[in-house]
This record gives sequence, structure tokens and C-alpha cells, in this order.
Amino acid sequence: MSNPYELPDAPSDIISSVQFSPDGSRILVGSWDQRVSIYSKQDGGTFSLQHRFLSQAPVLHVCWDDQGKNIFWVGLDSDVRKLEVRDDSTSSQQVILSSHEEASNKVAFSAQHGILLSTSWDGTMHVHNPHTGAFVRIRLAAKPFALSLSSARAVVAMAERKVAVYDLIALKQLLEQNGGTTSDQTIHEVQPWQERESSLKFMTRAIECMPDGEGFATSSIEGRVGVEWFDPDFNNDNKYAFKCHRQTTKTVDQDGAEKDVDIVYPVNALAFHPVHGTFATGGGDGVVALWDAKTKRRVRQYQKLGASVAAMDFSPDGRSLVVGISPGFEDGSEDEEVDRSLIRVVVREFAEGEAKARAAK
Amino acid sequence: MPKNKRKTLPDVEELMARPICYYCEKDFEDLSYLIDHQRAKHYKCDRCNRRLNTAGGLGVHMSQVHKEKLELVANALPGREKPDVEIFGMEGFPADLLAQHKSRVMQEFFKRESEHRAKTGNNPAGSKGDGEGIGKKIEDSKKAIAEFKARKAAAKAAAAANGSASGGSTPAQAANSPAPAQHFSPAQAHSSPPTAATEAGAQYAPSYPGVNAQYPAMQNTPAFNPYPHTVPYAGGPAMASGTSPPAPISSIPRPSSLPSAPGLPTAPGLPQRPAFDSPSFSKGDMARMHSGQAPPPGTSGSYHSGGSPPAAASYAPPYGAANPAYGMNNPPYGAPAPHWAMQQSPTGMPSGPAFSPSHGGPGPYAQPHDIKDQVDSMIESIISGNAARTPAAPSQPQAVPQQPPSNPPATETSTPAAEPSEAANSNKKNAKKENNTLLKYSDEQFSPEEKRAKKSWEPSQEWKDMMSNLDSTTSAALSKNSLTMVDQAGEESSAAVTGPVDDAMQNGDIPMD
Repeated sequence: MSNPYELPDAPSDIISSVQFSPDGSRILVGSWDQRVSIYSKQDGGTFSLQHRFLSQAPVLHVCWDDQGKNIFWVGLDSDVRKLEVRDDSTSSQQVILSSHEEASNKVAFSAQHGILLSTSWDGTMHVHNPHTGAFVRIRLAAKPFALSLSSARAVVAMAERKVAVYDLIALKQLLEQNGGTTSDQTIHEVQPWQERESSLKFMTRAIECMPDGEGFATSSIEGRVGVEWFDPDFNNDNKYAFKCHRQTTKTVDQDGAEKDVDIVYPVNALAFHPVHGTFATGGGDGVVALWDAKTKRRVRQYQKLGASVAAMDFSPDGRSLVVGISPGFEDGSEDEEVDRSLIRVVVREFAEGEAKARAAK
Repeated sequence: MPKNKRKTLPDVEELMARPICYYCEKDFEDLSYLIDHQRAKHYKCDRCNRRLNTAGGLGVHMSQVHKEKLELVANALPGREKPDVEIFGMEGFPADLLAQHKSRVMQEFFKRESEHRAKTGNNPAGSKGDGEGIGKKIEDSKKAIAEFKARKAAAKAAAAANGSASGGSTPAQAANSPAPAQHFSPAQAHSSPPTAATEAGAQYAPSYPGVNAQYPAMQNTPAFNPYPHTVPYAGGPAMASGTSPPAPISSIPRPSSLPSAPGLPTAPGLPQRPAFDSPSFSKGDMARMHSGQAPPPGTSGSYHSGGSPPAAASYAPPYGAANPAYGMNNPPYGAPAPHWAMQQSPTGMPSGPAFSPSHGGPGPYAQPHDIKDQVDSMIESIISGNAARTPAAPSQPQAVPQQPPSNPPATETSTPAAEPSEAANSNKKNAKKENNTLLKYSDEQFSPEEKRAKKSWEPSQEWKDMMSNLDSTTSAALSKNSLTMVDQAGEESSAAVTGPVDDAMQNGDIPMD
């Protein structure tokens, strides 16, 4: 098995998100071709396409529930959709859990609390009970860009460098007290558990909570990753940010003199290793790098992939990393037709201890 | 390269004998450096930083230790990244590539030599002249030998290059030698003094040495404030009328720099360099101009204000202060290049061809380098993105007379159609370039996804087909417009979506293949 290997039947348009199922046997892929795909592991250890569902609009984010039985996705049609995945692939049902006013960009499921969160560009967050269909609307301080959950917190990165940390228990209580349906139009004003300013000066691209729930990492369009902790005191002493996914090239300026220009790529994807606590960043340059948050060192950097890294996820056992690769977003050519051959989903298997942090010098 | 200036240049054989790296063509003093270089740059394992001796060795290491296949040799020139070529030092260097390299080294060597000769005016090493004099002065036998060697090499090369052993007649030298006369080629007839004052004078008069005398008078006229003057542009036409014949000078940017032709051989009859400095716009002004707005009153027309109409016309576009073109990187900025190029003193001229009489059109002026030197200071104050376009400008010099010469300056206040979007764009780029970083994505407000989302999308054909297969009520439940269906279901039972809706939404799964 070559490493990394590419999944067959890649989506036909830009990949928006990838996620391993809770048992690691399936990979969920959402893409702009209005499809949600599920790849499942075969006997040989390779993945192949198992299901492909059609949605009404381009899919922006996908996630599994805790059992790997239902999938949720959001997209440009503003709807939060749920679908039960059955092995026989004949009788799955799409259900609209709620609708935002504008396209919904992120969705996340909290296994610990059994609630589903979705955010939308209209500046709201919906908290759902996916089983009953009840949900509440919550006003966000600004337009959300990224969402991530830890076991106890939900972190929303927004425009104007705003970051809000919500307590999931509080959100669940709110849902239980006020959980209504679409007819209930109230948008609740909820005071977040913490309100912060992003440690990055530029727009946040991705956010990811540490597996131990102590903190989170954010990444921005300006080739930078920040690591922060929830505990304010600890955070003040320890938070940091570093540059990555940059490339120095020589260009000839108007005088004919050579100049170094730093090309800065957005860091589109972040993923924490569930076991070792290292994390991977994927940038617009098509590079995946592994970092150790504690020793602040780069563990590894992998060879360039053909196009921008759009999304990443570690398998629950930390043995493999799935990477969605798509061209287009990294260089402002969003409007152009994408080259389908560059859209790939690859899985990289890690050797024993490969993703482990090396001892600090 | 000679470390000591008094040493003679390394001769061509020495240069050719230097070991070079197959992968990046870098040359080294000696083989051991080359091997170190290859180990560090091309044969280093990117996983564990171990340095191997050959590409094959690295390949084996990668496959055994890291279970990966070596695809490409790092830092290699395009076309040479293949790991299957076994190179160690100079071993394994393909003969044809080596020959190619040697011939290139040789060419470069002789090119440099002739350039050097042209610059210093020395006779080629080996011929009677300065070189030999020095050789005699320093009666060092080693030097003499070195020179002998060089002479031999030069002779050989010269023979190879043009069949003539005399270096004095190499084309490069001829082109570079400061020969003022050359610049009176017919093509430039209009730059000669008599005509300039009358017809073409509009363009060249400003920097005419001959008109220096009129310069004080100019200062007396308030209208002719030196460049960063604060007289509102509106005064322009009036001034123009006030200044009769000598008027053209008034458009000289800075009187103080008028008479100076520092360090340049004065070519009789040739106009002097126009001296300008960066316009002293404040940052705010710059920003405004970039965004397509009219510049502050003080700056507008600064260059044309006093000019007789023709003069103004010829200068207006470049300075563009009165028109947004200035801030917009449009050709005008670079457009004056032709004129300045003409005014270059001979030494400033790059190689001759540009001045050959045969070039009548814009071609001859397509030599942005000298102009660039002059505008450098300006460029620095303006943000570099602007300047980046300068080289392109000379290729369209016809853009110069954006206002026909007959236009009175007053008309220039009416700004040509501005292109704010482009201005804004360039602004962004400039800001990025300033700190030498280039953001691949720089929109702070809209994520790439959101930008892309603005493209209209429609439910795909498959989706529509799916909908049409279902009956109307159920498809309504799935379509966005009638969410109420779901709601009603939700209100009927505490479970939001159950019952009929669920059943209706069977087939939601589209099995593919």
C-alpha cells in the first residue's frame, strides 16, 4: 500500500470537509458538487465509496453523530440536514433539522451532550437536539468562520477577530428550556462563557480544540497558527502563535533586482492527533505539517500535495489522517472552474510513533 | 571571482574546471565543497535529516527507514529531479550537460570580459595598452605568466567569437563606448536644440540646458512654484497664458536640479536629464489617489501649471497629478519614458541597438532601465506595485498623449474616467508588497467559501429529478420554500420530524454506481 494513498471516486467539485466516523471505519466527505460521500474501509484496509447522497445545495460542512449512525451536514441552502446511514443504502431519510437565514457554514456534534451545533453567515448559531428536532437560535457577536467542540466547550471564531467560548452544558440547558421549532423565531442572546480576541490578526480559517479539552488552536489566512488555552491565567503565560505555510520566492522587481517575497498561504485545516496531542496543519500550499503544541516544535512536514489542503481529520485511533485536497481557494480564484483532476481525498497512514512528539531538546 | 582586486581575473579554463552540482548547477571551489553541498541540499532525508551520499542511497534509506518512496530530489532544477540518476560529486555527470555547461561558462566569461573592457576602456588583455603597462610596472614573473595565459585564452576566444583577434572591435564594446555622436541618429533629430525649442520643444524644453537663463524669471512668477507647490490647480490656465515663449521650462519639476548634470559627460546639444524627485505626496494623498479620487488641490497640475499648452500636454500624463491616472498605475506613469530616454546622456544609454536610426517607432525607447533609475526615488515613495507596471508602460508609449497636445491644461482638470476598482486592487497589492509578503488570500471579511457561495447555485438536475419523482406534498417538505411542512409535523408530535414526512423522504439516498 503506497503511502499516502488516494481514495477512488473523488467528488467532482471542491471538498469542503472530511471526517472519520467514530469507529474509524468510514470517512465522510462533503463537497461543493452538492454531495455527501461516505467511504468505508474494505478488508484490505483501503477505503472505497459506499454511499453518495445528494443534497440541495453545495455542502459546506459535515459531521457524524457519536454512534456513526447519523450524519449531519450544512450548506448553501441554509438548512441543517440529518440523514440516517444504513448499510443497505436503500432507505435513508434526509431530514431538515432547522434553517438559517443565510447559508450555514459549520456544524458540529457533541457526543458528550448529544447536541448538534450549526453556525451560519447570518450571525446565528443553532443548537439542536437531533433526536427530537427541537432547536434554539442564538445570536453570535459577528459572522462565524469556524466552529469546534471539546468535551465541555464550543469555540466559535468570528469576524472582527472575535472568539466566543460557550459552555455546552449551558447550551443544552437552554435548549431544554426553550427548545422550540421553526415557528419560534426568537433569537436568544446568550452570554458566552468566555469572550476573547483572536490571537491572530487576520481572518480565522479553522479552529480545533485540543483532545484534552484544555485549549484550542486557530489558524488564519495569513499563514499563522495560534495556540490558546481556556484557563485565562495559564493562557496569558503560554499562548503563542507561529508562522507556517509560507514560501519564500525570488521575484524580480522593477529595477531588475532580485527580491525575496514571502508568499503566505492560508492555513485551511487543523486537526489534533487524538492520542499524542500533536496537531496537523494543512495549508493553501498543499503542505501538511505536524506540530507539537507543547514543545512548540515541528514534528514533521510532508511532501507537497497537488493542490490546496481543504480539510483534514485524524482517525480516532490516530493511525491515519484523511486529507481533502482541492484547488481554488488558496489564491483567490474562487470564481473559476476547478480542475477536477486536482480534487482528491488521500489517507496517510502513520508509522508507529511517527506522529508522536519528539522529546524536547 | 578575484578576492584581491589586483589579481587577474580567473581565466576561463579555471572557471570551466570548477566542479558543479548536477542538480542546481551551482559551482564550487573544490570537489569536497560540492559533495558537502549535495549531501546538505539534495541528499538530505526530509524525515530524519540524515544526509546520504547519493540519490540512490537516499532512496534506499527512505524506503527502508521510512517506508516511503523517494519521488524527487530536493532543490533540483526542473527536469533534474529524477532520483534514478546516480550522481556523486562530479561522478555520473552526463557528458552532454557538462559540455553545455562549459560552453555557457565560456560565453559568460567572454561577455563579462568585454563588458569590463568597455566599462574601463582598457585594451583587451594582451594588446598594447594599459594592461601591458601595468604588467610592466609590476614586474612579477607570476603575473606575467598569468597574463600570457589570459592573452592566449582571449585570443582563442576572440577567434572563436568573431574571427578577429582584436578585442577593440567586439560588438559589445562598440555598443558601450561612450560615443555621443551616436546619439544624434536621425531618429532623435527632434531632440536637437533648435527644433526642440520650437516644435518638439514642448516635450524637451523643460530640461534644456540652454534655457537655464530663464529659470530665475520663472521663480518670480508665483505660478511656477517648484514642484510641491500649493497653488491650486485652477490657476493653471491663467499661468499658461502669462508665460509665453520660455514657458516650457516652467514645467521643470524642481528648478534647483535644473542645471545639474552630475557626473555625466556633457554631450553637446543633448538635453540634460530631467531631474525629478518623488512627488511629495503625503501618505494620505497617495491613498486618495490610489482610490481614484482627485489628488489634493495643491498637487494637481503641479507639473503643468505653468507650462505652455504643449508642454503641459507632454508632461501631464506622467505626473498625472491632475488625473487619477497617476494613482492608477496606468501607462501614463511609465509613458514619459521615451522622452526621458532621449534625454539620457550617452553613458546612461544601454546598448546601442535601441538607438539605431532604423527604429522610428516606440521600439527604440523600450529601454526602461535608465528611466527606472531616475524614477527610483519616486517609486519608493509611491508604493511599489505602481512601479511594477512601469516596465510594461514603454511598450505602449502611444498612450503618452492622452490629452492631445492642443488641449489647454485646463481640460486636464476633468479627470479621465477613473477606475476605482483597479486602483483599489493595486492598493491592496501594494500594501502586501511593502513588507515583502504576499498573501495568497487577503479578504478579511469574506471567507473563500462565502465568496464562492455568491456564485449562484441551483439545485442540480439530479435533485430536481428526485423531487419530481416524489409527489408534490412530499417534495415540498424537502424543498426550502415550504419548511412549514416540517414544522407542522413537528408541532403535531413532539418529535419534530416524523410520520408522513419521514416516509416521503425515502429515496433521499441516491446510490451512486
